[in-house]
Amino acid sequence: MTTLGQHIFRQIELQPDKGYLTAQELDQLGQYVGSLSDRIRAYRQMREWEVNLIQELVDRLPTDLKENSSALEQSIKQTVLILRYAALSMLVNDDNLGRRRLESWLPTVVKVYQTATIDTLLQRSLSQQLPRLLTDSQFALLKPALESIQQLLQE
Amino acid sequence: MVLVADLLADNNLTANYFASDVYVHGTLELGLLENRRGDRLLALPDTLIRAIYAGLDNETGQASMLVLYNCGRWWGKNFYIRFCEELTDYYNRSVSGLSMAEFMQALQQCWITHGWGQISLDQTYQSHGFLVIKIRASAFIDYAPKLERPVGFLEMGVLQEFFSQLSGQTLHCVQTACESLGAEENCFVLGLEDRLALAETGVDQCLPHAEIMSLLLEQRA
Repeated sequence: MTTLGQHIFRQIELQPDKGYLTAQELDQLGQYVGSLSDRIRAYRQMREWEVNLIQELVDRLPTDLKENSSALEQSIKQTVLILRYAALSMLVNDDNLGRRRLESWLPTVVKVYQTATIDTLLQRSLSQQLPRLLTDSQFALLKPALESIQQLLQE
Repeated sequence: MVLVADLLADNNLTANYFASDVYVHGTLELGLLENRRGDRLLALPDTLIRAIYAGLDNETGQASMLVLYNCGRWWGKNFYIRFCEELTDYYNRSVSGLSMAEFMQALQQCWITHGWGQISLDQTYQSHGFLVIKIRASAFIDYAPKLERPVGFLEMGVLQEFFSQLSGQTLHCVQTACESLGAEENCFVLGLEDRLALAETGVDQCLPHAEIMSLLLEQRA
């Protein structure tokens, strides 16, 4: 559990020998705590609906794309990973978490398994479906993290 | 019909195993830095690396290059075994099932996370039987004594053994460009020993990497 803690507090300097937190840091902390229950609700929602949500995206794919099953399976796993990383990034208020962890890896597997076409479709409908699962404010919290990971697919 | 629930049956998805912020752990109160499997990691002070170079030079002079190269070989052999073991455990399938691109991505990330620099594979000459490995920002070369020739002896040994094991052939390695001589990156050529003799000569004559490569390619014709 300590890793979660690190991410939330990484943004403020925890060095009492240098003095107290600044007003700005306390504001930042206050904003985070204020949004925390919303973040947890959104996270729980995504956790509970993961399989159904992804299945829905897969069912909407054009039939010809469902034939290449190795690319499809890989692309589905990537979509799940992206969703999980985005959810965690949102929970701990660390928009770049997913990008940092997946940066060199995701573009490689997209090339190896040639998933680009399916990825594009799955990500597009993921971005369309998520606002239906979450409230506007929850989706706004999730969006920067989600988009920063999705950008890796274009690289 | 693909069922997502089946794909997620074990709930574990594999991604970037060596990602820095998940790979390095520690029980710092006990003075332990560990990787994600619990194997001990060490942070080497640069002064120690310098001291090893200086000590070897004092005691063995010219032979220190050979000592370093042999240390590198020993390291490379064991590093390969451990690297494959970690990937096999993580992916739950043999390393031979990974594509070269995935394998290299893992190696690159591993190199970065350990602070050894940025390693990359140049496959331009692969069809001619030569692999070129490039390393940027090498810590070992950064602290090596400056000579009038490439000084990545440790890495030469590591790469030679690592890729020999990977390819199942006894390969030899020659460093053809070195950051210590002002090159942008360190270049290492891997191939069969008798076909690399010209590269050794080229290095002795201080030829640039590209010229050495064309010498190597010409000898085939």
